[in-house]
Amino acid sequence: MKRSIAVLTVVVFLLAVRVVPAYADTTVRDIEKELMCQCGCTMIVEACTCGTADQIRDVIKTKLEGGADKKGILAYFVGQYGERVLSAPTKKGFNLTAWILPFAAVAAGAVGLYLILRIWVLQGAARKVELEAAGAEAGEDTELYRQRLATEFAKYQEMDEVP
Amino acid sequence: MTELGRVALIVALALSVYVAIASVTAARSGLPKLLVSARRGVIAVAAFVTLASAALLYAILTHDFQVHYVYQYSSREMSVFYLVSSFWAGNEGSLLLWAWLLSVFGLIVLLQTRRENREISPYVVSIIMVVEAFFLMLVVFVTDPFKRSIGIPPDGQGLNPLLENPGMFFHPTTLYLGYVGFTVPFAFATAALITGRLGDQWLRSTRRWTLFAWMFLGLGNLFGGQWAYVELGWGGWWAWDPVENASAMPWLTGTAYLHSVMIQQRRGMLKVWNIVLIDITFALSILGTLLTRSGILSSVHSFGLSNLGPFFVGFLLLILFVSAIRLIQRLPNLRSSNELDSLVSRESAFLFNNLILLGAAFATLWGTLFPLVSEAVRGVKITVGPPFFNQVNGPILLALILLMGICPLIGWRRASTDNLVRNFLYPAMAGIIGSILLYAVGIRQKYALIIFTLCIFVATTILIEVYRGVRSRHRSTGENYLVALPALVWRNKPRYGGYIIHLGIILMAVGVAGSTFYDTEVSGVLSKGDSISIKNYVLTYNGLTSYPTAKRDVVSASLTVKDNKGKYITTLNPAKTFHENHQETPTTSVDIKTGPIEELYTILNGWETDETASFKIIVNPLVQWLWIGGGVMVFGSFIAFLPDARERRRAEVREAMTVGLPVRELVAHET
Repeated sequence: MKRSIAVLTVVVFLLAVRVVPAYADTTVRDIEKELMCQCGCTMIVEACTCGTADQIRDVIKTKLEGGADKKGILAYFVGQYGERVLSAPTKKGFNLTAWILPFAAVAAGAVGLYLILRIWVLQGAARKVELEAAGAEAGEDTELYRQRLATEFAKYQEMDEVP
Repeated sequence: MTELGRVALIVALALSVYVAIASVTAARSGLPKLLVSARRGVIAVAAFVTLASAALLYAILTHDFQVHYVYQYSSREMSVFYLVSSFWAGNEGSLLLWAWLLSVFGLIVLLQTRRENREISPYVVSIIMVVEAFFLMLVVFVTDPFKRSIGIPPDGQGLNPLLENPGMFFHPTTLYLGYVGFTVPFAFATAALITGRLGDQWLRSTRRWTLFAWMFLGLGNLFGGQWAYVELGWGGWWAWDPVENASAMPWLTGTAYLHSVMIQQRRGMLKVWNIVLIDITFALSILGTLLTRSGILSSVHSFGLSNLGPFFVGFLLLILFVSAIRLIQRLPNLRSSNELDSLVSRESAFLFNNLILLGAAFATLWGTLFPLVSEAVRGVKITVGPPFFNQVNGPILLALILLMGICPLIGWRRASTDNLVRNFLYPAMAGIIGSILLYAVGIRQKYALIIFTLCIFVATTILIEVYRGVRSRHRSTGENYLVALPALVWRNKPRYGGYIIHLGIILMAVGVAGSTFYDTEVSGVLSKGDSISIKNYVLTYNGLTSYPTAKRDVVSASLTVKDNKGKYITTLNPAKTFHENHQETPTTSVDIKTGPIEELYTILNGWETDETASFKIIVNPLVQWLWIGGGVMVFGSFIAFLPDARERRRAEVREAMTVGLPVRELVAHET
């Protein structure tokens, strides 16, 4: 079971990682989305219209024109401002926990829920067998009563479901 | 008047503490006179908090700038509309609004429990008053809205210019109705735990309260999104900001609760789970208030640094601790016979829906708090922004949309193969055909294609369910289809209200997918007469106009919009507004050509003395469906919220069953 959970977690994480758009041609806007403006607005550069954001845009443009790639440009800004300039945690080291934990939690929850539901289904089946055994012993009166109960229940359901 | 307000707050605080204690004492000791006194105390608390609120409003409207809060957030030139909204512009006033709303809700609960829930109502009232006392304590001792300055300034500083938008009126108030509203179901759940009356009664009593809070929290978020879209000038409506996240989390867990209570009501299962869910939802409401006010996380919405953080943290821990202890104590009484007929049943589907909703709430909470975790563990400040939430919550929310389609198709208890084939066939076919058509017309972005396909699938399930209901009614009553449809909805408001809500969410998903995956943006510096093209639009810059308004200077650009064949469409005037008290931070006034297919969104970024100006132009496809879907969702919530005669009759049947009355007669009478 542990192995299944681990495999499921890795698969889910890999799927999540694949969500990252693969840019054939990096544009200024692609990089703007990955950087936070440093004017204190708490917005990504792409969304901010302040002078600081414009300066960052100019630097990105200049560096792209100079042949720099996205990775290099992001590294430059991290060197300038620290890791907080990136709009999302990097996918390495301790930061990986930020990416993995939500999917791992959902996957673990799904496995746990499946197991609980299975137990409840087994409990339901056991109870049904118990009731049937008791019904066979009780004879025809019980059968009559059960039919009446079924009729009442059907009426109640009808009241609940049929518009 | 402000002195009167301050005294009223102190009296209200003392009274709320008295009611909290007296109500429980009276219930435990069987002292009817004390109980009557406590109930009257609730009325007095509401009256005194209303008096204090009226005093603050009076101070704002009469420009009593000696009151520091009035000086900070209002000014003489503000219209009455914005003067009223400055009531909740700062920490002090918004906390008073919290306290006032809760005191009114306490009063409503008091009226509702005159005849029913008499056993648990003293505890419900007591818990509401404990929360009330906490907020009153804050406004009396920590953030006094009536604090006076020594001198009398001639004018106030006025609102932050970004707050001068109709959204300022509707966004905080609706959000607060949601946050505060969740106190009531929490109080009922806790009272049920304390008294041991753990049947379905507390659930039935709180269904509409939960729906009310959920609806307003959703509406508050919608108003906030709309406000951001038109006021902040960045072309988006949701930035995954910590404060936005804080309001999304209780909405998600509240949604889970609204679904899982159905299982308890039908099958008597999940008693513990439902209490946990409502406790979490209330705790997240308090966490949201903490994040907005403490300044522990950077946010565009926050009220700035304050000393409120430790109080909220303490209160949050107290809530969680007391709830957990009470729950553990009552676990033996909450054991229910958890039995399922089949794994493939609506009960299972609802539980997976709960898992996904909680997963989304957890992912949002984890991402919101991760900067603090990172700083604590690594000592490094990092940011968790939109790319993280889009990548993590995106797949989770996709699963949620899928489940929204699947749940109504699976029957309660057990779904037979025939039932599954019959129910899934048409929606699945519609989804497949729809995706092929979308692909054929050029929708190739894989996530957009998945979302649109799921939306078609879910919308088809809803329409088929409604059609079946209408057809059934048409056959049984002979009503024509147009008459049968509203009659059908009216006869079972919770069910069809729920379908309308789902339809609204689908429309919103279409808006989100369209504008997220297909938005186009172009920036440029233009001289007079220059043009810039984006998609099928050609925008020609005609020059700048500058004009003063009361305490503002507006610089507006004129852009003639034509299609690429030269046909005139409209003229847009994006602008920058310089406010007298905030010259250094001009606000962006975007101009938008709206439409159901796409919106042309124009932003004036800046200009030079020679009138060259820089613009950002965005084409946002389908964004209007986000607001339309939101409206549909609120309409559905309203339908589901209305009193339901069938629910009342079901309650009568249940009551009759418990006291041994002939249920058959009631049912026969009904049918």
